[in-house]
Amino acid sequence: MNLIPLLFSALALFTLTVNGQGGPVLYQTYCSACHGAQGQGGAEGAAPPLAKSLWAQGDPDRMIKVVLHGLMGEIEVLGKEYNLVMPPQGAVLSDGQIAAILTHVRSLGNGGEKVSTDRVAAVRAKYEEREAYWKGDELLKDHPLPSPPGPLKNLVRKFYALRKDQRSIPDYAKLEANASARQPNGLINLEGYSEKDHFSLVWEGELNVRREGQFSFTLDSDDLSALYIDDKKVVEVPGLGGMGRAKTGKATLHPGVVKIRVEYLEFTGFTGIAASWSGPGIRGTQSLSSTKVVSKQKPKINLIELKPEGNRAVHYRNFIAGTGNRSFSVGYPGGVNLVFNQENCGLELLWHGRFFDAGPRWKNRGTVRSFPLTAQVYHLQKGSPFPGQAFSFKGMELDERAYPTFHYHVGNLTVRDRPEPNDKGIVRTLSIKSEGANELVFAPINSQSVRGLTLASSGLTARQDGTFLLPLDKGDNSFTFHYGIQ
Amino acid sequence: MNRFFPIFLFPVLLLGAVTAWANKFNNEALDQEMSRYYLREEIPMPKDVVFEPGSIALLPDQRIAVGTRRGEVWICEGAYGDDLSKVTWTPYFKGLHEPLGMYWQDGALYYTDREQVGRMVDRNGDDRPDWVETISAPWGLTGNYHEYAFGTTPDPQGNVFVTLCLTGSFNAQAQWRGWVMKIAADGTATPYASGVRSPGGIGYDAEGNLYYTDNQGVWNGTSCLKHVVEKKFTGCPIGNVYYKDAPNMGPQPPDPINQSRIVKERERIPELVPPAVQFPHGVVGQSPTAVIPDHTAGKFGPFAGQLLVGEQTHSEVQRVFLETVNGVRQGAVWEFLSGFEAGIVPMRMADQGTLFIGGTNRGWGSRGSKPFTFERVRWKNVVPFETKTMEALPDGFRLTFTEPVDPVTAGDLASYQAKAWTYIYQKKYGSPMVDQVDANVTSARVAPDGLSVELTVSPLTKGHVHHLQSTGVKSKSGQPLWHPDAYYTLNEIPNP
Repeated sequence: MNLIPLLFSALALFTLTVNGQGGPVLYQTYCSACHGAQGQGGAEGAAPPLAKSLWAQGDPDRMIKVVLHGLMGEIEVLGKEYNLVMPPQGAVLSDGQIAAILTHVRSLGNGGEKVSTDRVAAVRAKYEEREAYWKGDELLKDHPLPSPPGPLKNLVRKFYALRKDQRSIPDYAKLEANASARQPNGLINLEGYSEKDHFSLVWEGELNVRREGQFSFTLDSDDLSALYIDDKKVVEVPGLGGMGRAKTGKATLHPGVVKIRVEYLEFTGFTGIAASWSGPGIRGTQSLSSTKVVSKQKPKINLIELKPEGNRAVHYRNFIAGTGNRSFSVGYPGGVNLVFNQENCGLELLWHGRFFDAGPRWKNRGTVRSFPLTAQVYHLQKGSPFPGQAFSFKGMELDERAYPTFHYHVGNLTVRDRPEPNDKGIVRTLSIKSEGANELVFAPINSQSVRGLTLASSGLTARQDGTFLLPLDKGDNSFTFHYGIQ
Repeated sequence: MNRFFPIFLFPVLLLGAVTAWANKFNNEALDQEMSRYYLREEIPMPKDVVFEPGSIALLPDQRIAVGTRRGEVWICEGAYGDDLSKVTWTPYFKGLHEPLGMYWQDGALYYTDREQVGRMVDRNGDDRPDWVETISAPWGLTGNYHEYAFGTTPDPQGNVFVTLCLTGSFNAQAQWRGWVMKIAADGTATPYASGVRSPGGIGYDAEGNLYYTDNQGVWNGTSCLKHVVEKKFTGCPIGNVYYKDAPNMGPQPPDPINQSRIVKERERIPELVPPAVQFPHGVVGQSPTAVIPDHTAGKFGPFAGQLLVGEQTHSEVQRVFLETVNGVRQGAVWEFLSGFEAGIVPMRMADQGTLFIGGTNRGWGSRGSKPFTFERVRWKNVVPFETKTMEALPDGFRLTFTEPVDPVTAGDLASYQAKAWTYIYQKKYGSPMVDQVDANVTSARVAPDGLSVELTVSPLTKGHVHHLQSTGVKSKSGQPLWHPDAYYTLNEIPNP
């Protein structure tokens, strides 16, 4: 063996390392803090893995674009959803540096195919004017993820055109296939047929069973479908309808090759088919189709539910759906909850039940607003409850149970606003200090979506437009309002 | 199979192995070196709490308040003690909105969070606030996660300064995004300076000058420490649309020309204050955060009066020396403390010389691999051999050292290497190092006491970062410098 190339390589390697120009060194410097030293992902789940990721395989332009111009928004990587911001590096890194980094990423279980400096330069030149970050679907449209060959061997797909009144799986013995094609990608797919109506497809192939035991087959389709193993029906999706009607059937299988047959009928409109299997020797669930089976109820993995602690109210200040950006939320023991909007001194949301999921704000960077964990939320206000008045929020007093009394000014009036929960809803007391005789228009409800809510005042009657005219004497005045939401 | 394949493969594998080894070795060696001078310790955090520190306030009686990114405030006792297993935590309040600035004054805990500058007061002495007050909330919010607000401790007049990240870090859809606001004790808010992009922290130097850190991105070629001067512009023009609402600021300065240089645009835009110190991206960290002075007059080692700057991505603390040249603040940065367990965000230095740091990893990755951390660092009374200061001279730099140098190596030109570069000032995200200049150290005059060296460096380039590597310099006892690399941002060259 000739040692010279080896020595030369070692020397070159030393130079590369010292100059910090090698892909691994550049990767460690610029990428590893977020994506992990081995490309395993990181940043508390904010940055997706790069190792063994389809995003880093196949067409290199996909990755080149991400590095040059950045990527923002929702993407799915290795079965996990990310809502991310990958900052653009094109202005910082040279073509050669990007090529070196991506070549290193390709070596992390992504096939190892090199990315050339010329390729980076070409993509940079083509999108020289681009300033916007890429969106995931925009990238995937131009550079679809490579699909690894599926598990179905010797797969053949037959096409049957059907009569327009055919609403059930036909008797194939009486039909002649209009077309037949091998499917080298080893996956059940509708490619070429997804826009058509009134047809049937039948797939036949082989599946390799590694270990003995019971297997589950899950099938979903728009419209009908049925799955057979060794000519025995295992599972079917009956009746016309859309995706999302997945059914699961079980079969006990022995090691070796089994025959699989899937029949599918499309009536009109949308199309779709998805199949998967799981069982001994299969890690998790393996897809048998190019479309993945989506379970009907997506688990809420981000749920961080906030609850009152003992007899103390729970507080939450964050960006919340359906109210302003300076809102203080209170969850009282007993299940009454409210949101007070500090920007307009309005009691905006009121509901009974579970308080908040903080997960959208407290996972990753917090890109999504928080929402109450109940469907029935009363939106009481849009805008200020004191029309035409200047107001400013001052602060809040907290009692020993952490129940707040909000303090604010309306014009030159000083207001203390105390909601107190009871078994029907809340009793809200406005204590208003006035320098002289005065009156104040109070509009506690100025939104339409309050069906089922009752509002009554002790001693005052609502005017025709739903507002109350609060008569004020010099000194302290007190008004009570009962909000019923049960 | 091609029989040469393994030969081709070998260097690739070796490269990977050597790189990993070199990185590991380098980091471990630095951590080991640090442990000779500084003791870094993890402080136990409240059990089963996602802690994620975003702000630290030092309270009387050696109590510490920590505000978390989840909006909780916890009070710590025992964090100064010798036995950290005795540390206890009490929940104080839960319900702020990601506080990134906190301090204690006159019995109240003041905070800056996403929404406001406020204070919490415990009037009945049950260790929980019964009054939560909004002092000022003058800025806009759209609900974007990037709308962070970092607040200072009060200045001698009682003002708090708040630096406001751009919405999404690149637009100013909401009022005052991209500005530094001054909040007076009575809540009066005044726009104070423009030009902010994405800050990571704000604070004063030992003389009371105000700085914030801004992260590499649009109109910011590399992360830097920016000097905040009243009525001036720190560089990112996106928030300048609000000059219309800031009559006290004077007329809106012209926008910088895209793909120019800061040194050039300073001639066009008199309001533009150049970054006091630029931190070369990836070399000296890549996400600077907290800014605090070492005000302990020697209790934290030989760097009294210098600035310490936190670093999120690299989980480090950098050290900064600053001076004024021709009326402009500028200076040098060195890497300093490293090996923290998560990305550093808040820091506070206690009077008796303990540095407290908080770290979080959420959303932005860091070398330190824990999701969050609370730590302290104390000096071991062993002086590291370091370049203490680096001052600009009309024809070079004057270095001072923490202990006398060996005059032979310090006087040897081969001990030094200098080069300089700058960054493109542009609306694109970041910049490569450009306009590189190979500088030469042409003379080295060692002072008789061995505590300083005057270097002639040729050429000096106005506006460039000057990287001086003093690898060959040894102390009298034969030690090399702990951190031989200094990066000086030469906004101005002193007049002869």
